[in-house]
Amino acid sequence: MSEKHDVTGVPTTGHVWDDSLADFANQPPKWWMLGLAASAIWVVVYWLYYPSVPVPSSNTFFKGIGGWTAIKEMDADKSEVDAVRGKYEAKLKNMTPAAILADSELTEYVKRSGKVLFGDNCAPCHGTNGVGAKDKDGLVAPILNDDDWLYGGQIDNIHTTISGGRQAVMVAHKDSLSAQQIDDVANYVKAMSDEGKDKADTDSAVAAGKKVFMESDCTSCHGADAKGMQAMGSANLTDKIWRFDGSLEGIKRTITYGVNSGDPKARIAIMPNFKEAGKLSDSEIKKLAVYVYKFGGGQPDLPVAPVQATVAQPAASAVTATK
Amino acid sequence: MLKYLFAKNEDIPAGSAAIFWGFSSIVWFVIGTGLGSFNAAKLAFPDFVTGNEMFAFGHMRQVHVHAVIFGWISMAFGMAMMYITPALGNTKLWSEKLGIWNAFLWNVGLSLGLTLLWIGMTSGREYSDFPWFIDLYIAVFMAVPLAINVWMTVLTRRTQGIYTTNWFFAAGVFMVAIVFIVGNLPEWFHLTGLTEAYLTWWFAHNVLGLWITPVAAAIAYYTIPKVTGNPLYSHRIGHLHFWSVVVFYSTPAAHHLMSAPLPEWLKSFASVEGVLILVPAIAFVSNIMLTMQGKWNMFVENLEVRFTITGVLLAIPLNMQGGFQQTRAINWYVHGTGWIVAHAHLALLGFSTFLEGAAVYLGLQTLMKRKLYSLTLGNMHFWMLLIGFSIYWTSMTIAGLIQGAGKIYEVPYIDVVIAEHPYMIARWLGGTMVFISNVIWLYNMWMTAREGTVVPAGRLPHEIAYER
Ligand code: HEC
Ligand code: HEC
Ligand code: HEM
Repeated sequence: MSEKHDVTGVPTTGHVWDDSLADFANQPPKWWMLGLAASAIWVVVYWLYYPSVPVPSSNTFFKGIGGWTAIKEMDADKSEVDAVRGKYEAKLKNMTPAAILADSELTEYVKRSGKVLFGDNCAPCHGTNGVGAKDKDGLVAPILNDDDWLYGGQIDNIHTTISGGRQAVMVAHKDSLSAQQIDDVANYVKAMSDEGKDKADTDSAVAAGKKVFMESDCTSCHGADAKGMQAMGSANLTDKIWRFDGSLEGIKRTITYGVNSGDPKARIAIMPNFKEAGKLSDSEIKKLAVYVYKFGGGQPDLPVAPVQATVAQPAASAVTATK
Repeated sequence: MLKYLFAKNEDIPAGSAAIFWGFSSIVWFVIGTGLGSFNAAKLAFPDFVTGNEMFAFGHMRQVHVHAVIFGWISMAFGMAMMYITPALGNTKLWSEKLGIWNAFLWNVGLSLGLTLLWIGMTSGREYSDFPWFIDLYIAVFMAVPLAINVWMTVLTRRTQGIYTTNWFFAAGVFMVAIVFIVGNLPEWFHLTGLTEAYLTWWFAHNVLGLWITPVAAAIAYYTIPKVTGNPLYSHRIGHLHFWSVVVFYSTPAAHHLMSAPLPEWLKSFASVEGVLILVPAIAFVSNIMLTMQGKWNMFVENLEVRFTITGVLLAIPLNMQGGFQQTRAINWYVHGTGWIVAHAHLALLGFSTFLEGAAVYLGLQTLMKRKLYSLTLGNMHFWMLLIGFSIYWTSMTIAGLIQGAGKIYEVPYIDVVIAEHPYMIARWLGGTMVFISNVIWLYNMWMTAREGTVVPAGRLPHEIAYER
């Protein structure tokens, strides 16, 4: 058997298994042994450089001639970062968000780190750059790069929202209103959005709905003008912006089961409390407030003239503006 | 097969146990890759099958991982051992009956364990997620009987020496039992903290290092000399391979925990051992490649050789990655990214799956004495498996590099998720291709059992692969 396979002149070990299987008595090739030696050298070098061999008797270990430790490496990386960011961070600490906004260099810095914070913490609900993210029930969370605000678009409003979280409540109306009344008022709400409030008010087709709106509890939260109240985050019902599904069916569902009302079919709207959860530091919350403000929808602190004076910023321009 | 459970040992035809193991492994392969492709779909399309806890990613991922490792890979190993160990000893399997019971208990235990994982009963320790009593069952009713059968067959051999393949088989079955017992200590004795973390990864690493890698390599040591007719290039390199696996593969568990607060010296040990793993790897690959001298045409012509050599070639990138991704400098970049997922599949869906594929093809044909039903379907299986795997590996490697960059350069998480999306879809496509190829394989093997041309006595199936 061995001669038959013997192309190299090397003998086999003389064993034969499974009728025909044999093995040569070849030595490992030279390149192979050199590779082995090279790995051994590598091991010695690595061991000398890094912490390696334990010394059980004195409960310690050989620390390595490189003096390397993980903590040292981390500190070195950190100081590299701090050298660039330190001076801004120190300044930020004692400033209010409004003061940061007034300082253009600081605002530029904050916008950059805000982008990362926003992408990590907020984008899953609010969408990248605050453009909103949709699921089958409408928006997951409000769009942030427009000038429509549930809780107000001034820098301090935004700051309060992020540090304290928000949970608007709209009661369910399935017991207080009949199905017919819900139908009517939903039609009226839709008309206010589709045609504008003035036209809807005079539209006889939705007069029954208007009556329900004015006479039930709607006005106590949404206001007689249906424009919403920032203090409780009730939505403006006269614009074309829908937080939840804005079809007739969707509006009916909102009215019937409410928002965060405790009803199992209620719509859910929870803006988490990032401060209490310990997820963001004070500085980070300030940065985010400025970042969100700078999406383009932020409103100046001075009491502003009636709504029609504010020009809506198209979402797309707000996105490019932050890049 | 089940009728032999209560037959007398002498009445059971030789090879029955191996055939039972072989077909079980293919079925688990189909199930396992089906689950893999399901999981990949979940990661590519977040709204795919929602609202049911049992089909949540966390449940299904565990079922997938355990179905492929303990179903496909381990049962294919069982098949290889039941078939190759006696062949190399010029003898019969020590006990066909034990082999059949072993495969039966294996299927039962695994089905039970996977069902428990599926309904959410898990120890939560990656790769040994089975609850403790299933781990005990695996050790006692699955690993130990297999070890007894292999050892007794080696001891009752009728040849002089023990061939390389059988060293690995005998050591592998012994080591896997130890790994199961020691690796699950945290569950049996409620060890917690770093001890638990370390032992968990000691288990996970050694299931790969002391079970899957050496046993898969052992298959190549058999199929290549056997099918090509060339003697193994070097007995000596085989020795080097064997001993360096035993010494270097047994302790680098800490390389899975390079960012954990383990003692730094332990991590240094793991790091250098990672590079030393290249020693057995190169020994193995070069030994097989040199054995192929003069027979490279069979790489093209012969299905079993093609499967084996593909697996062996994949061991090269696999071990290069393995060796270097555990040094401190590289680990911090790739840890916790898709790169590692690609690496895991290079090891299991690439390297070891191709070697087991060779063993199951060769073993089932030889033992059933029937030629493969359709060589075309066999080739199709090979190519779809290889292409599907390559798509998987490439897409996950790229996704991993993106994630690593995102992790280090403070890219917002959401941007990384968006950037990865196309690769997630590609992975799903590749994985689905693998799944379909396995369905084809199962069909082909089933038809081989029923309608394959009978192989005449004294010939080997591969010799007549191209005869009509
Ligand atoms: C779990 C989803 C979720 C996450 C994460 C989240 N939000 Fe919100 N956010 C909401 C919801 C829901 C609302 C609306 C609350 C309501 O209707 O009462 C909201 C409201 C807001 C508002 C007020 C919008 C308005 O019209 O007045 C701001 C500002 C805001 N979020 C900023 C952020 C920032 C900044 C982050 C990241 C730190 C963040 N949110 C993270 C869900 C989320
Ligand atoms: C207890 C206060 C309260 C009452 C009473 C109330 N609402 Fe609301 N409503 C809210 C708040 C707060 C929201 C905004 C919820 C959010 O965006 O998180 C809201 C949201 C809505 C929306 C959804 C707006 C959108 O953009 O998707 C509709 C529609 C609506 N209310 C209609 C009504 C009608 C009609 C009534 C009377 C039948 C009514 N509400 C009574 C507090 C109230
Ligand atoms: C159809 C082909 C396959 C597909 C689509 C697939 C898909 C997946 C997915 C999506 C994961 C989860 C990865 C994550 O957590 O991010 C996974 C994990 C895993 N799969 Fe597969 N898989 C396939 C085949 C296999 C095969 C054949 C094996 C083994 C032989 C295998 C072994 C594993 C292992 C060990 C893990 C855990 C890996 C890790 O944590 O990095 N897979 N697989």
